[in-house]
Amino acid sequence: MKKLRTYILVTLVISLFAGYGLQALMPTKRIDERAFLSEVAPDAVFSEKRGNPPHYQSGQGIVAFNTYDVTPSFRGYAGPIKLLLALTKDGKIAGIRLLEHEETKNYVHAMETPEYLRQFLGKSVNDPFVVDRDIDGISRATVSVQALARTVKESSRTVASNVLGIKVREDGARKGGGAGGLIYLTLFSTSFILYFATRRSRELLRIRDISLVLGFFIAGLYLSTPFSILHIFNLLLLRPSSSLLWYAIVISTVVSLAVAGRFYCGWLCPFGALSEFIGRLPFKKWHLPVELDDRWRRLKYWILGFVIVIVFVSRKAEFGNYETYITLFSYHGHFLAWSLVIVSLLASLRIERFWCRYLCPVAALTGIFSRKDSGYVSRYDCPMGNKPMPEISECIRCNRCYQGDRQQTEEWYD
Amino acid sequence: MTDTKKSKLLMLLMTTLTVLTISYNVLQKYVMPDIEGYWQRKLYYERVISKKGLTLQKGMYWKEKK
Repeated sequence: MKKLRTYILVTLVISLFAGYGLQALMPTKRIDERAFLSEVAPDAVFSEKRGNPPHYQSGQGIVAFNTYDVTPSFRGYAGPIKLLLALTKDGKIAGIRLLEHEETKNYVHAMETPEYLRQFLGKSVNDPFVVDRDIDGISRATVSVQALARTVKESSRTVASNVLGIKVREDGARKGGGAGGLIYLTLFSTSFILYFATRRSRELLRIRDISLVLGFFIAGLYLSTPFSILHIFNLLLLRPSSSLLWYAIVISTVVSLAVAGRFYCGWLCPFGALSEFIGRLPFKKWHLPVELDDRWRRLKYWILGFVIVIVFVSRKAEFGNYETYITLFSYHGHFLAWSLVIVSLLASLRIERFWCRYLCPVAALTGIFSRKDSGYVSRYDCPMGNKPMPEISECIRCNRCYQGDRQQTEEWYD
Repeated sequence: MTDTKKSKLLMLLMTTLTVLTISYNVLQKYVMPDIEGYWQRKLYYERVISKKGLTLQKGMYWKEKK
């Protein structure tokens, strides 16, 4: 385990430096806004970019601007959402084009379509721009859509006021994602309390199933944001989010990792829950030799290292998106991603928590930072199929085998 | 077939799928648009430019001039 931890950390540091180095050495590919001006205002001929805030102006009084020049601090789930907007001289949106964003494609694919963006056309800068009121919401992309609406509202009002001289409403900035964050924190706190309760009493072990079911429905189906390796990638690429939910997920997982190792995997992960429940179906499990099982469990670390190199050298977090839970709970993915989900779930019928054991990047990341606890000795019904006295990195803290400070194992093995 | 053999096949399939998924993420950003662009140019050459007896470069030059 020490070797794997060193491998991951060294790969991470080298890749981060290589990525920053390449960025410094190679000229950054900037978006040519002018090329898109004809899309947001087809008949207009624009001046050069000028003024404060920077904007393009046409003879007909149409003003076009990059929202990032006006409201650079507004962020979606993983960084700013950059748009090219065109305003008429009476403060109506004449054109809109999405230039760049770092959101996870699975969640925001509907937001990128011209059909979705068309709803902004003709809106006045003084309209409320509230999601689910005058702007259509997109389920499983709430934070991104709120950030998009807020970016359009605040940047267009700033330009309308400063460039076009229009009196604009000032109704303050609304921040999105607060309710989701609170719901997730409540779920996490409840499960964490239950975790400690089951360490004290074996009679309570069944309540872990309640936590798994809640994790599946709340973190998976309702919030659609299971903890993902992309959270950590975006954090290391210095692309923090403006969503409370994002911080709630990242901070709670890091805290639980420090205190209780892979608690998240064993108590909250919605895909882990689904795999475990599928694994409980009455199908005969395949028997694997311990050496082979041990060797395969290392595969997730090698793949994580490979992905770290790709992501940090290219500085594109979305390249590392191969996580089955993102595809499943965003209801979006390409053919290969869906194949991975289906085969993983089917494999769980024969090998307990197949994805978590051999391929999951979150399992690999949380595994290498798992805190040692000699009370976990494993037993015959371990949901991870762990051998006796397993590596702590493979333990998901279900507490079935928890021995406290005792080292007795007499009744625990078949 | 033994459990070990079935597991090995399953593992091989899953590893291949994982690597293909990661590769697809990278390729769809860089390589696929290039391939698509190449085929668009190639088709345009075969349908329009080659009939005028021009090379692709000359044809594109005159297209831009026009």
